[in-house]
Amino acid sequence: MGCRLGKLVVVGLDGATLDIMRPMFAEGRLKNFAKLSQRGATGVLTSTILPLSATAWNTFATGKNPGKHGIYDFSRRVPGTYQHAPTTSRDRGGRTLWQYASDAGRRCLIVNVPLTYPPEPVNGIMISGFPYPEKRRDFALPPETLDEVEKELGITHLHKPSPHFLKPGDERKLVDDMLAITQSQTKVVRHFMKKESWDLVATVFDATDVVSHFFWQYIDPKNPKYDRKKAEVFGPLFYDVYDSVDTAFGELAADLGPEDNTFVISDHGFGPVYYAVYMNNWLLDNGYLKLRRTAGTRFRRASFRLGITTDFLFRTAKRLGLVGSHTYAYSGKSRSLELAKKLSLSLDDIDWDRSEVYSYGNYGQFFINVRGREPRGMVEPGDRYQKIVGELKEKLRGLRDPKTGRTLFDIIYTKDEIYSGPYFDMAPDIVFFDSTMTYRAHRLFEFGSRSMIAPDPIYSGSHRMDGVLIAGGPDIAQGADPAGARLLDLAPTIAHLLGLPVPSGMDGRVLAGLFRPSSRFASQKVQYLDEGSAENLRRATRSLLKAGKRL
Amino acid sequence: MRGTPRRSISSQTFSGILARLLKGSWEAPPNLDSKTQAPNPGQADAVAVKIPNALASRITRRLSNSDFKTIDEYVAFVLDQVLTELEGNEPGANRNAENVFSKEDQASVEQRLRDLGYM
Repeated sequence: MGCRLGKLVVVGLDGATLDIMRPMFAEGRLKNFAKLSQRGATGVLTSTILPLSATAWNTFATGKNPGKHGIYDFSRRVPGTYQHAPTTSRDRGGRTLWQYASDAGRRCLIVNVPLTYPPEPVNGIMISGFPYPEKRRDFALPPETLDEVEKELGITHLHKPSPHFLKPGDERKLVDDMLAITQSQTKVVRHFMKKESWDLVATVFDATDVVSHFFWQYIDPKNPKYDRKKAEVFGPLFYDVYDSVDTAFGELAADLGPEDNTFVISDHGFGPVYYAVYMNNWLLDNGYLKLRRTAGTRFRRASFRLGITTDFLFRTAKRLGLVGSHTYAYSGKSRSLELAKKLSLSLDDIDWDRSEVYSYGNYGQFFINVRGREPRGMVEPGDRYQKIVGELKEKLRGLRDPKTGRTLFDIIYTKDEIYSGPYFDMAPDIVFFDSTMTYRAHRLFEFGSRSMIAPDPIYSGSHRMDGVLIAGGPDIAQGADPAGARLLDLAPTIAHLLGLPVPSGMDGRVLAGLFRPSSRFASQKVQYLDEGSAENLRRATRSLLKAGKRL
Repeated sequence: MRGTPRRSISSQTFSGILARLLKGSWEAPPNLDSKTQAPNPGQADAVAVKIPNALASRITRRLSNSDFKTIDEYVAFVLDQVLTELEGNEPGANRNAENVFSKEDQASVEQRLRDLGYM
């Protein structure tokens, strides 16, 4: 590629939205992001379906649709069971941008990108992002990285802020935690950035996502949870978190040179959420889900009809002062959760031999109980499967809030409409959500509420499809319009800007419209890497020779 | 390659490998866990693959200084490593959280996911 290229720096702001950033720009805040925006291109970056961080950051990492990387949620079905387990980087199919870059000899610094535990060897440093077992110290490679961070910076962890302690009065503490972690992460990235000239730097800040889920109620007077007095105190904290990531970005940007290109991105947008929709209740009412006929299940079904649900039990416990908040009550730490499971209906009460459909996961996912796929599947693949899927899709389209008449879900897809690849079979059979997320299919893990629709017991903010893209640098045209840009397009675009061929298995396209006309990347034809080509085989062979085996 | 003499690397070494397996002297290549271990060419489900004689001779010349005792082992290891590298994460190959998390680790991760409303 001739002369040396500059760095490519990606700063991820989990869940950041231009709906918050643009008004802050107008007020003269977020000066560092505003500066990048004025110099470069700004617009919406469309997330994945579903717009979940686990799915979205893996699409960013691979440039592939979820059917090719296999991460559909923070949890995955355990084959041969109806149980779910957390997803990890080992569940991801398809290689990442940083693996391709490493193969080509590019130096990579990857810090806190979600779903990268266990860390993968890269030509450089990888510190895994949420989630990982936080007591362990194996979330970075090379392993001595964490010792260096602790010894030279005094930083022991970069754990995602946890709201499990969020009881009334703890809001400030949670925000302080977010600010401290953002600062620590910035120090870590700067420490390594100064040590050598990297080719690819990617780091994701979590705080914008956490504050948006739990603090949206303080900036949204329309939210049923809105409390003016609390809003006056805690509303400003919401914007403080955005300011803190802007400060972090300013510090990172100060270390960059004129030859470096920068992308500030978010994996999905954000907005208010008001209602939780309990889709397993709907499946039960419509005969798709059947309960066991045991005495225990009959008792819990009767309790359920009387309104004794996990949601009811938690609200009662809260009123009695036994727990601090719903968030705490729902956490695994809560003993009341275990008790609630014994008293109220859960997925353990489902009669799988008679159930055609079940819902599990976040934001609207239906799984058909298919014979041969599910352990006790009873729906024949083929015509019967297609008939049920068609029926469900039609019924979902017609679902409305009985109180307001508003349509609940405007985005409804069957898996074959949006996913393709080796992990297609693992996808939910139908995905659906409300694009405004006013209604959020929620708590599909149990029958949380007797009603199908109830006030959201945990969040006041939730994800949207429209994420953020702000790009700037010597190769980015000022004022370029990134209209139509998708998260899927980032990996191919970055590969091209690193002077690498775009792997043919990536589904995204190079966002050539972002490039300055005088940039070499604007005139340079995009090269593609045939993943089965001889060049790839040679690379694999080189890797084989590094395996340490005498051949 | 047309007309090049080929040598089968199939089951002619089966009895030798079986003997070593029975004696407990089969040693898996280092740095490989059970998921990435090259298929044992002595297994009954092995298939015959023909390679040119010249290539087989080149491998034979290397055997004495390598970690392999037979052409079959050598070829199976090299192909397995190259394919694993090419395929990245083979679909389904790693989809078992128990390999990543201990029971305690999994519980702690699940709790963090619940705290954030993700699971």
